[in-house]
Formats: sequence, structure tokens, C-alpha cells
Amino acid sequence: MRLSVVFAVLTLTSSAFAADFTFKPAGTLVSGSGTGRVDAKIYAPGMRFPIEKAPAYANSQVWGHGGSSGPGGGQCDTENFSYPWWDNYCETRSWSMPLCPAGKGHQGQDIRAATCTKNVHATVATTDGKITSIGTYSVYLTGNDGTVYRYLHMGSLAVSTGQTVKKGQLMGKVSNEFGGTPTTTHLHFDLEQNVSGIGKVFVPPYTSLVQAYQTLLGPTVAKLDAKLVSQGSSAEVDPSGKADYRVCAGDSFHFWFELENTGSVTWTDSSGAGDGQAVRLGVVGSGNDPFTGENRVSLKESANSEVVPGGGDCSDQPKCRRTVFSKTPGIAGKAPSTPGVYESRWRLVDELKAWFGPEVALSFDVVDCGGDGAAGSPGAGGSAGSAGAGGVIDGGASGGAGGGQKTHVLKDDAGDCSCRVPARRSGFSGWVLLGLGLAFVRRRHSTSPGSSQSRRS
Amino acid sequence: MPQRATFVVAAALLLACEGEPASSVATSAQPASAARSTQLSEPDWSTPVDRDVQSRLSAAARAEVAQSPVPVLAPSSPALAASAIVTTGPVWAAVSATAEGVTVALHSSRLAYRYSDIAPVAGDRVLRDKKGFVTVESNIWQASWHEAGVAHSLHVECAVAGDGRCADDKFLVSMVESLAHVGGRGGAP
Repeated sequence: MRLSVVFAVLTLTSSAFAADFTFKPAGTLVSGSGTGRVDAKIYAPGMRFPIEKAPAYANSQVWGHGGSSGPGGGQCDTENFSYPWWDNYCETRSWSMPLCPAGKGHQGQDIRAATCTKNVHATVATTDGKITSIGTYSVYLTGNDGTVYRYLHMGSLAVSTGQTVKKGQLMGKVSNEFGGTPTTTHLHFDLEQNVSGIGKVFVPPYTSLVQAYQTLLGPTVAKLDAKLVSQGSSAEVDPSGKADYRVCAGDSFHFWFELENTGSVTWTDSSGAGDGQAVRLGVVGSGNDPFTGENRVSLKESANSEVVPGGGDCSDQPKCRRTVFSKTPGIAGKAPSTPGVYESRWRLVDELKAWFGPEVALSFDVVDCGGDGAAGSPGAGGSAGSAGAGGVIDGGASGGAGGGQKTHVLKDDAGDCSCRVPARRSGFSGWVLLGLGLAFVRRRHSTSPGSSQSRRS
Repeated sequence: MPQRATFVVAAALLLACEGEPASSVATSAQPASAARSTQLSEPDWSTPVDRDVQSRLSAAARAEVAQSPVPVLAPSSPALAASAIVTTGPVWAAVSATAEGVTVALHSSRLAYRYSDIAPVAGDRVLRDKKGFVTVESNIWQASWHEAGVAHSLHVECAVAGDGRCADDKFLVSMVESLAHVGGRGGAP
């Protein structure tokens, strides 16, 4: 883990923190501290980060320096005040937590402010709402939807029970209050939400905090960042609307994701230790993709093996600023034999460093085509609209009767509420269509008894 | 009626932003995506109001109870009831009370989030004749359960470390069992 000098960073701007900010994936806990919940859902979308200013460091109190199960040293150890962030929801505890893999675990996320000095760093309201309770070392903020945002161990409180607060309003200071026996200086933050089928339960706060922190850091260029440009599949658009595409059980097909490097470092996959040197497309969550049976696609398998920020306006050769996972005709997939709606969800990962960029996903309705996939096989063509994370689909529906490919072209920033709209064909899809068309013509020529090739042979 | 209209608008706003969260995710090996949607339950107002406990609330608390979109439960302990501060929102109510070295925080909501990748889980405890959960973190005990169509949670926090009431879950459970229905918007006579 990289070390940083706590007091020096105080003089840096948030843009510097943005460039440095990295985080471990949700569910990745410090080794030996339990089993995390691999869950990238954002349970409190749009919330404000609970500490007023960057930098802040999400990591375990118990398993960090100065903690009872930590590696030794004091709570002010510089490693406690450095990136990457670590999830500690579901860290080993002995009482019920129904959403934790072990059924027990830590209820929230521990966060350290810029330094270990108490009563200096302000905490703020994560949402518009009301202060619904204040204990000796707890403050409960309830949003309009009933989600309870709980802050523990604060000092210098600036709110009172029953008070209406606005998002960003001062709440108090990060401290070590704990009923007379101080804890380490940190903010324990958790989210209590009414989850259907369970009841009021502590839900994972980590990804909501990551999103909120990235918002706090602002739009400065991170070392590793990406945006989705287009995505699509050779499968038929699902006419039922249950999924983006429809495919017969057992059939083979292709799908792709076109991503642009919007960070500041070049992507390669040389398995190097530097930033951006082990970039792959990875399956979000545990397990493998249901269609490929794998959980990684190397950048080396993509259309451009060296994706350069500010590079050429292209995606099919080294030093372009975009690439397509994977090379034409796309990632090869095979539909499972069991009908149902399946999702293929991916995100870029700089291996052993951090996940980055938006999640990208396509859903497929796998249907039973009567045991003969070819006979009932839905043909390629048409368009579907699945907004990948961080983007919104733009434009009208693409045509593509019989063999047409479809591609979703995405605009920047969908905001908090991304909604489905029709897709349009992109340059990439046209390129693929042209390629398929040429291949088809060539195949026709090569097999036709009257073709020149046949005559030559 | 204006309150009802306010609630409808608020609920509509909440639902409008629940279309297709870009960040939801399922375990990719599983069928179906992890969409989020909301469910609004209809509270059951048939439980009689406990007039004794209701009378222990302050006038301000009783006035807030009358605005509540869900049945309000309150601690029956005279000291805690007298100190209770009631807060309400479009779909929820909360009661906070501090007395005799302990703070109790009760939150009740009729809006639930449904996540397609989260299966129902039955509680392993019985609270007020319903299955529920009991847990603790940072010495703050929490119980959660469903009652009268509403999801409730009760947090109990002792002001001083070492207070025997927060050494285990007994005090929490006794607090849960002693909660009394003190009214709400739908329960007004």
C-alpha cells in the first residue's frame, strides 16, 4: 500500500486527490478480517460525501494501524491516511447482518478524515432530511425515502433532533466520542434501509461513498477513468422488452463494448506494475460471465492494445483513444442451455490496483427455440437500449432487418437517474455491418458454382 | 387532503427516480439484472391507541404523531415517553427519547426498496410476535421487525460505556416489547 504524508497533503488541492484516488472493489476486505459483500449497487445514489473536504480515507479501524486487530503502530500511522480505500462492511463481528455472506458482520464503513486530529474536520448532511435522533455518540439523519444515514463518534455537533437539514449542511466534526471511552478518531457511517423481504437492515454503504467522494473530488482527470462509447451484440433485439437482446439457448453470438480512455495514463496489458499497465475488462462481482465462462478480457484481445488519452479519434489501432472489447466480431459468447434473462456485466480493471470507469452491461433473454437453435434462431438486427453505467443512450432506433448489427451510442453523464431511451447506430456498428456484409459477399462468391473463384479452381 | 396530496407527490418523486439505476448490479452468473424498485405498503391502523402512553408525550410530540403516515410506536416508560421527540417524513416516522442514561431511536417506514438480486431473509428472533433481527455495533443495539404493514427498527444506546443495559440484548428486547401504539394520521378518531 502506498504511503502518503498526512500533513503535506493538507496543502494539496482536491484535484490532486482526484488524480491519486483509488479504491479496492466493494467486498474486498483487509486480509483476515472476514468476508465482504461483493455488491456494486449504489444504495444511496446521489448522496453527498459525509465529510466536508477531501482527502478522506475509508478503511478499517479494527484492522488498521492502532486497531485491536491491526498490524501495530498508532492510529495516526500514515498508512491509515492513504489510498486505496478499503471496504469494511461485513468485517467480522458476532451479531446478525442478513446481507453479509456470513450472516454477521460490521454494519457500515469506517472513514478517516485528512488527519487524525479530532474535532477539526467537518461532517455534513449527506441528503436533505431531518435529524431524527441524537445519542451520546450517534446522529441519525433520515431522508425523504426513509433511508437512515447514521454518523457515529462525532464531536462539536451542529444539529439537534427534529431539525430539518439540507444536503451539505454542517453536522459536526469527526471525533472519537464513544460513551466516555474514546475510540480512534474516525467517522463510522452506515445506511439503514427498508429492504423488501427483509425489513430495516444496514445496507452496503461503500459504493455510495465512492460515488459521493468522486463527486466531491470533482471532474478533474483521474489517472484511470473511462467512458462507454457504444455497446452491442450480433443477437436479435428482444422484442418482448425483457432484455436488450434475445438469443436461443445454446446458440453462439458476439457482443462488444467500446470504451474511451478519459483518464491521464495510457492503458496497456503488459502486466506491469505501473498505473494502467494491466488493464482488462473484468466481470463485476464473483464468478464468471454467463456467456463466455470467463471473468476477464485482456486489452491485448481488444481492437487497440495501447489506448492513449487524447489519442487518435479511432478505436481499432494502437494509440487510438478508444478500443473495442474485443476484436471484430466481438466477445464470443454462448447462450446457456437454461432459458431466462441473463446479464453480462463488466468493468475495466487495472489488475491488483483498482476498478475504474463505468460498469457496462447487456442483458439477453435466452429462449428455448425447440431444441434446434438454428431453426428458431432470432436473427441479428435492430436495436435495443441498455444504458451502461455512467451513460445515457442517445438517438433513434436503428433499423437492421435481417443481419443488421446494433450499437448503443452513449452520451456523457446520465445524472442520478439514467433512463432507457432508444438507441442509434454508431460508426462502429456501421463498420461491423460493412465487415459482415463484405464477408457475406465473399462467402457467396467463394461457394457459388458460377463465381470467378470457382471457375479459377 | 393537502397532506395526502403532499405524500402522493413525494411518493411519485421518489418513484420517478427509481427507473433504472445505472449502477445496480447482479452477480453476473445469475439470471436477471439487479434493478431497484420501490414498494409502498398500506399500514394497518386497527391497533388501538394506548391513551396512557400517548398522554405521556409532550404536546409537540402528539401533534407530530397526528401527522404521521405510519402508526407510531413509543416507549411506554414515563421518563422516555415524556422526553420523546417525534419526527415525520413523507413515508416514515421517527421517535427519539433520551432519559436515565439511555437513548432510544425508533424509525418506521412504509417504503421499501426491492432489489432483484436480494432474496427475502426471515429474521432469527421473535419480536412482538414477529420474526425479526437483533444486532449491535459500537455498543448500540438494534432490533428490526415488521408490524402493522410497516418496517420498524429500534436502536438503544447507553450514554456511558459499561452500562449493564448495553452489555447484552435483554434491555433492547424489553424496550421493543414495551413499545405502545400512540397514533398516526390514519388512526385519528
